Amino acid sequence: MSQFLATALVLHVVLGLIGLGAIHLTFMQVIRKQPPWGIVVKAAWIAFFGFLLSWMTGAYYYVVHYGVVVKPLIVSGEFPWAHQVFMEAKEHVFLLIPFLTVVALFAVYALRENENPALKSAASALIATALVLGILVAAAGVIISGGVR
Amino acid sequence: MDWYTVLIIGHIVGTVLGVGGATFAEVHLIRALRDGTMSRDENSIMQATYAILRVGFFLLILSGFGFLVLARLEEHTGLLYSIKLWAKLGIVGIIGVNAVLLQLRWIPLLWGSAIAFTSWYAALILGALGRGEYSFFWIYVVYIAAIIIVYFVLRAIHARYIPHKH
Repeated sequence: MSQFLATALVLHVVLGLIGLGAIHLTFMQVIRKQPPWGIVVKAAWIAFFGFLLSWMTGAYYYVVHYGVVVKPLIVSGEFPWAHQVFMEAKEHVFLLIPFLTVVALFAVYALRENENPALKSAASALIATALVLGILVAAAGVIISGGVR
Repeated sequence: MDWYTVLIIGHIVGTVLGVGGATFAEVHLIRALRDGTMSRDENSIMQATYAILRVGFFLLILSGFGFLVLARLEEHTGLLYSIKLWAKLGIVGIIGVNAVLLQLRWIPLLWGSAIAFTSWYAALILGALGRGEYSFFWIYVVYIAAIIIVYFVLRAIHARYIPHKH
């Protein structure tokens, strides 16, 4: 693997974790009785950029290296389901996360202006969905890495 | 300094902040509630302690995933088949879920405290244990037993030091 691809893989993981940490912080603050909106908005922006950049670096690694070198190794190895189940699911679920974070951003800006309880509850559910999907995608990444043997 | 050393330092710092934060969260909570109410100063100490805990948690996860990426890049994926690693990942996941449940008040404070406190020490102990044969089942049996014991210890401490409202 070239240095550039290795960097793309490292950035994909690190930026994804930063996005995950930020969306966790967003959720933990939004569900408070009196959310600190300044922190919530900043965390939502970090989550959006973290996931978006992780998406881009991951996509580059996937197209240039994973499909050509790693995927055949996994499929012909001991754990073909690491690709057939987990990567196939991950590559589709992951597409959704940056869009969820965009909607979360709009929602927290709207909530900062007007703390509508119904919107707060819907936004919390949306942010929780992004958080849970992010955790599942991260866990799938670990399983896929373990599938290369 | 190589990446492995950087990750080890990050992982140790994260664990120290997390375990220390979890311990002091309990100590501060009991001290703050001794008079039956939590003052503004006591609340700000609690918030600072939780902030340190969160930083520790994030560092732990970031450095933990760093090890996995390093293993992947160096083609030492054997690490990913470790029972201890998966048990630890599960416990780290429980710490995160428990924090959300506590914030939502969907779990009683004492049970949440017992889970957080035990989980941080369990993650520390699993990280400190050397290589060897471990059983996933027994790790979790001991972990759950420890949570129950810690719950009863915390309950006794709360009953002894915190006045009850009638």
